[in-house]
Amino acid sequence: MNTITSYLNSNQGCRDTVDSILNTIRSDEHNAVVGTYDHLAAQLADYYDATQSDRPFAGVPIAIKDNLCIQNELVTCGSQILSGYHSPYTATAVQKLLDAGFIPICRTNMDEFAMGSSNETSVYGPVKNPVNPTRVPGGSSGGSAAVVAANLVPAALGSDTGGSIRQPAAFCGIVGLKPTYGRVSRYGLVAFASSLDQIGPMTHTVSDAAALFSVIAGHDPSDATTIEKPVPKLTLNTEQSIQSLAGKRIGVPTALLSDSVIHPEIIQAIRNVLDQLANAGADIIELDMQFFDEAVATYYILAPAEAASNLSRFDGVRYGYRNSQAQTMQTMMQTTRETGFGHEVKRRIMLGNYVLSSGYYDAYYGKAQIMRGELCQQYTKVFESVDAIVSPTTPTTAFELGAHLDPLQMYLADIATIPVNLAGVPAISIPCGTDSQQLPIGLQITGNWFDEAGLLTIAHGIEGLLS
Amino acid sequence: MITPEAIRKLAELSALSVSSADEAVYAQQLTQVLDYMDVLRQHTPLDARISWPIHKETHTRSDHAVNLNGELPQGFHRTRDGFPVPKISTAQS
Repeated sequence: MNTITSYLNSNQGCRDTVDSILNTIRSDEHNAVVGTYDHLAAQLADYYDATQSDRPFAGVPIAIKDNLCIQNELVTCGSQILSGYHSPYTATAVQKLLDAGFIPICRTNMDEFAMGSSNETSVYGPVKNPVNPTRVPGGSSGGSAAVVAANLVPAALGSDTGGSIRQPAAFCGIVGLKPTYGRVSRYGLVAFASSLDQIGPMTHTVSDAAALFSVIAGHDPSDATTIEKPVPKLTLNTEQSIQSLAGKRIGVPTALLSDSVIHPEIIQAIRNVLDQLANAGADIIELDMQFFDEAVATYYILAPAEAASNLSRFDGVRYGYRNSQAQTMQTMMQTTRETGFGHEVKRRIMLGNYVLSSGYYDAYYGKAQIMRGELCQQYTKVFESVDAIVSPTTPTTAFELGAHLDPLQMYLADIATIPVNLAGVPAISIPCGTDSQQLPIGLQITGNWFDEAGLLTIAHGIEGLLS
Repeated sequence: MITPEAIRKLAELSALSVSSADEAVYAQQLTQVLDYMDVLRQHTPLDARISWPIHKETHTRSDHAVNLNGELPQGFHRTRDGFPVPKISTAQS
């Protein structure tokens, strides 16, 4: 397992490391990488080889999801419509990585515009799960999860709108953290649903996720939704983290331990974790949270509504791909969008415009906004009585590539992760065993708003218990 | 129930052109998804207020002007002349 610490302790030169990774990427068969930052990575590696840098993560390679901008580099969001588009600026989160010494190595494959849960909607084709190449890696940050799981890099950045970091992390057996909405700047993240999107780290260990989180988090004047709060700098110690579990109040939504929703093998794995938590002195509290079906409906109204607006800018005029054969402006826009977007994106754009249209707005969008407010209130109330909420990350383990679930089935696969985005609270997925087919199972731990320190400490303690 | 005709109008509203074969598929899929949304109609709401942006501090924080150029003083900012790092390498060679 290649961790950030292992790279920091390595005696290998940065340039050798970078060249080695780039060579491995070229022969990688998981289709997890859609482009490399050869020139940038080589320049940075040469710089760190030639100087004694005091940057804390000098020379550590990292992968970047294909919806995060780096100046003068391609960014395509896994879509035909952004083919050939070079960003004129760098995302704040990526800039902070550069400042800390990380070396961006490659762009990772993703569901088109982050819309999907299997990484099969990408224009580059599906990603194969490194644990079992016949399975999907999850989505939308499937490429980021796969490059970490395949040990190509120790860490990757992903983005999470409805579970897009945590679900692929669970499917690939790695750690994925979605910070509190407002913790990490979205400046330079190509928008899908602006009130839900959040950037986060994907790593092998909770310690690495904590380290990466402390680098990318913080207020940014370029993103008005970021919050000026101190960013915790965590030094996690396994023994202390395990000891700190004693007396912690751990909530468990009983609705997510029902075999009508969650696969029995996953329920068993979660119950094993709960037993170990109880043995470590934690109080396990059953929670009567009954909003999961409503949360999925709410999400699939609000997210497409925001996406319909955000994606209206891709019209062939300003970005990437254009159908230059069209005779009129309107035809050019329509045919560019028709051929530039995939089916899932078009379906969500039309769904978004439907729920926003006159006559349906109150019944769908207005109702969903009210439900979202109610869900936030329920989380507020729950966190008065618990320190964290534990649940499965996904209802199933990684499913077969090409299973062709219908859209509704695919949407319902996000039932455990979606409420977290709607409320804006932080959550992490960590591996907690495997099923009978040796496919990884993910444990989702949800924390209170801006309590990433508490969340990561609990996650680190559970990781210690399970190891 | 979403009809293919409704899909045609939605596509126009969305600046998309959708083939007639796809219209039927989208109509069936959107109908299925919107049927599921009925769980919201059946839900009796609590006395909840609409809350977006999500955190109250987003509403209440006191913003002040910040010079973006000073925010990331250690940053590797590219310029028209390229990335600044090679200049250091060149100086050493």
